[in-house]
Amino acid sequence: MEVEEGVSLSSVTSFKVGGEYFGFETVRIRHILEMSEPTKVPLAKEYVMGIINNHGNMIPVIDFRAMLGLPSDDDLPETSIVVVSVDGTAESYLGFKVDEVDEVFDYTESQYQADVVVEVNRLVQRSLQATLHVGDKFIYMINLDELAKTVEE
Amino acid sequence: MDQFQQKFVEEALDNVEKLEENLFELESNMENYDPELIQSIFRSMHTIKGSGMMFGFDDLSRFTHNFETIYDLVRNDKLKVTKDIVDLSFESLDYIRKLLDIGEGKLTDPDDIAQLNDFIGRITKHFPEGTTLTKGRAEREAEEKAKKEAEAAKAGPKNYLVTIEPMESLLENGTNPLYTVDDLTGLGEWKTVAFTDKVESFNQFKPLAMRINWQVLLHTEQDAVNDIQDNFIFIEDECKVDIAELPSGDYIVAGGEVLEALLKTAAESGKYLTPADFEQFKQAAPEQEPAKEEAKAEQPVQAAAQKSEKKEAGPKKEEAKIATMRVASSKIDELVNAVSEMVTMQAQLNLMAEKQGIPALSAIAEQMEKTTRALRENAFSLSLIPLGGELVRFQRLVRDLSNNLHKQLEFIVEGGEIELDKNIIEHLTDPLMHMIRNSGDHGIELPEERIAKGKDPKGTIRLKAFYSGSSVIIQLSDDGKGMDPDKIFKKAVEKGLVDPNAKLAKKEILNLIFASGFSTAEKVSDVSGRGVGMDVVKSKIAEIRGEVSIDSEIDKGTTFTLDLPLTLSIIDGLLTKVNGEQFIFPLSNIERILSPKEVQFNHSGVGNVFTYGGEQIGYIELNSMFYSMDTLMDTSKIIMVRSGEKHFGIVVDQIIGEYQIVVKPLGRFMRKVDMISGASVMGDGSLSLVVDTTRMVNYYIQQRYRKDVKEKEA
Amino acid sequence: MAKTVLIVDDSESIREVVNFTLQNEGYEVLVGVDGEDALKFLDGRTIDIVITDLHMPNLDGLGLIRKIREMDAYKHIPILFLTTESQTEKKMEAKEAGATGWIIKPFVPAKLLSAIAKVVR
Repeated sequence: MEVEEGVSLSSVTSFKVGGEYFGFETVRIRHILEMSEPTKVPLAKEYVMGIINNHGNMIPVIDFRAMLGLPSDDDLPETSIVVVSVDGTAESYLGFKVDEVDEVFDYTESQYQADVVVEVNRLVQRSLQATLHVGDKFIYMINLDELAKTVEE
Repeated sequence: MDQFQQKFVEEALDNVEKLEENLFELESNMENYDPELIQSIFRSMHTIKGSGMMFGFDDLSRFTHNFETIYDLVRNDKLKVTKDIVDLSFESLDYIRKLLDIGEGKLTDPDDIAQLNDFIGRITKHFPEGTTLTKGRAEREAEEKAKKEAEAAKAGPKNYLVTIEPMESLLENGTNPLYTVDDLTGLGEWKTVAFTDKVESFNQFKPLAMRINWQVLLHTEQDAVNDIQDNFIFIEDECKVDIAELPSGDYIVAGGEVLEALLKTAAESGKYLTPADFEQFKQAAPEQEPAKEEAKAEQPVQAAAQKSEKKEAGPKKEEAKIATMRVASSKIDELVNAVSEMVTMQAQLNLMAEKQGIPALSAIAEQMEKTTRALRENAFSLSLIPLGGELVRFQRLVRDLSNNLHKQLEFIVEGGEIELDKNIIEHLTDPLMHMIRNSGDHGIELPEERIAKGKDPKGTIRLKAFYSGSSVIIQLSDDGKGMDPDKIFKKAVEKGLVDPNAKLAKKEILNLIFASGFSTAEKVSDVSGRGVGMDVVKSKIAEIRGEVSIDSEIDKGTTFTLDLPLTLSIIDGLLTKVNGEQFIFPLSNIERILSPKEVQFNHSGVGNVFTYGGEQIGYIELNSMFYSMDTLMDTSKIIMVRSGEKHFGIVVDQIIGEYQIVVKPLGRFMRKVDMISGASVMGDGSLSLVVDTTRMVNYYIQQRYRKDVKEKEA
Repeated sequence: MAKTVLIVDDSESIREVVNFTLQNEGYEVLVGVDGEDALKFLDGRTIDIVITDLHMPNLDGLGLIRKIREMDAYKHIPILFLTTESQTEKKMEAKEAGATGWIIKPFVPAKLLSAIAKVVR
């Protein structure tokens, strides 16, 4: 994410996975769904849980924990699927299973830092592009296009 | 852009397409064309011009007007059709497309306007001397401005004496002179005199012969000569109209005995009033109430007019049928989507009816299913469009290729009437364009080269479409130099796509051109090689569940064969279970279903093979391939499919039954798992995966091949 | 009673805009896509005015006007044709064929209505 002076900063939706906070640009988010068991697709990548049906759209669901290389955890009532659209079309819907959806907020320039200190699985690492410092939380901003590339490869 | 403008643009694009077709025809026979062809070209242009004016596409209209003039000249034998003209015409069509693309139809950038004027200059250059040229926009605007100013100068109240002498035939063409008189009197204060002396006595009365003359006295607030003339615009040839200006003053408004007497005398004597009669009013006349009585003479005329108009009309016949109609394609998409949902719900209904065991419900479900099926067929036939609609674009491409590459290319089409789902056609255009470009660029040789090989200097690119079962086959072939398998193999080895020691059949080698990374823009020519390779073509075709294969003979040519489904979204499928998960196989891919008892498993060879009907058939255990689990062979079923020339068996745990299903694509992130072509929502809300058997077999064969290589290496 | 107008034009966009304008003004509108197509409406029903384009496939405007003038029921109904300014010759030809008047393209709805009002009331 590029931030220039004078550019109004956009809205972020943060979520929690494995004790860390991550964020997507809110404009990319299409739905936040309750967890439901996806239908497995054989031979898909190991972190692809399968597909779910949302109003006739087949949405692949990524286990974000697995993508981060973390062990799986039991689903809790807070467990959700964050559905994003990568290029704006339904064809590029992608769901992420996360431990908990945190909040939606507008960040300010002073909260933004263009580097990332956390080290995670390399699958995700290259998609992390910035850190937001909000209160006592560090939120790692995910570049969705990069992440999508990883999933698509 | 409003809806009418949008309609206009759509229609104009249709006309451009038609023009393009006509131009091809003209080009193929410039010496001896059918005159109706030129008429048709002229008409299409004329429609673009006329409608363009209506919808504010002024620059387009001006351009098309000049373009149209060429064909008007041709039509009148004042200009001969030459290659130059045809070339210019094709170029003009592209330019019209461009002009149609600008939002409100008017160019604003001075460079664009200059370009337009240059282009028009190039067109008018072809006009023989003495052809009137149209004025430029600036000129016309200046003229209009001058005209308005001149009009404004003629202000102030005026009096007129208008004398109208219609010809006898006036009524024959549907004109009602009363309306004209009426309009005239609408311009200001008025008095009329009707001269009925020439009307026959009653028993000789001819209702259609116009025998009445009028004089109208008119007082207007400003100069009205133009307005008066305008009133007679339709009948200026059938009427003698004289407009005389009378002395100023408000005597027409004020009336008065002197004026009334004057009018009465004129009517009775049958002698026209003249401007001289009004000299006496130069001084103000005494004031009086204006009398606005209807001229008595109007009555017989009105009767006549009515008689001619009100012939007994027959009872209204049934409404005329409209044979075809244009519908927004988004509406058809919506319909197809709704029908697709309905098919899914139908499955739910069937399931429910079965569970409830109520005969009446089952009967309704059954009836409903029939109707749903019919509706589905109907909705799909709506979204089918003939391939032919796209062909002009290809033809145009081949033409441009010929010119750019200095090759002689002929494009032949067979089966343009074949219909395909419009979504399929949309996905098909780009890959076909690419393949045609390749054929023209790399396939067909230069004329001298062809002559040296003893071939016709003219190369042929042939597109042939036909139905084959539930698919449509499109073959694109050229008679060019063909592909050399050795070269392809060498290149594939260089690119690391294939083991140098691999023993591959010719067909397998040819198929390497579809591997990603095979065609790179090594020689970037103007025409092809823009970095898109055949792998992109293959994946585009795959997106519409199609297959592409290749066949080529050195110096004989290359043929690409596309195997496409008729429609995308609804199929009849066989629902199966493997390891508890649901998989659907398209019925069209299934040859038969076997029980393991009917075949002899052959455990001696490499890989899974069984013998059935004397044929050795390879098979895939889905449990093993998908879940690395063993299959309980005794209770399993074998689905026999055809892959290319060979049969293949796919072993599943259980067969549930046949379903009509709506295939939903899995989207861009599941494309790697290409043996699953989509998913379907079942009656109970669960999802089942739709299998692409050809891809499944290919995947299996590749896996085996890799395994074999590994085993050999170990 | 609403007057019935038969409009004949091979351009769908023109047909639509004319149809729209006339229906808004309360006319009954019949629509033909070319001269040949228009003939099917001339079956004896009351048609108060015909508005036709000149350049059309199958049967062009002149042909249509001549045909209408041959029919007893429509021999004298007003017929307006659509034309572009440049075609003075065409105007004469159409008048000779039996047209009542013309409407010059491009036209705004008001112009169309006033031209019709000249011949039908």
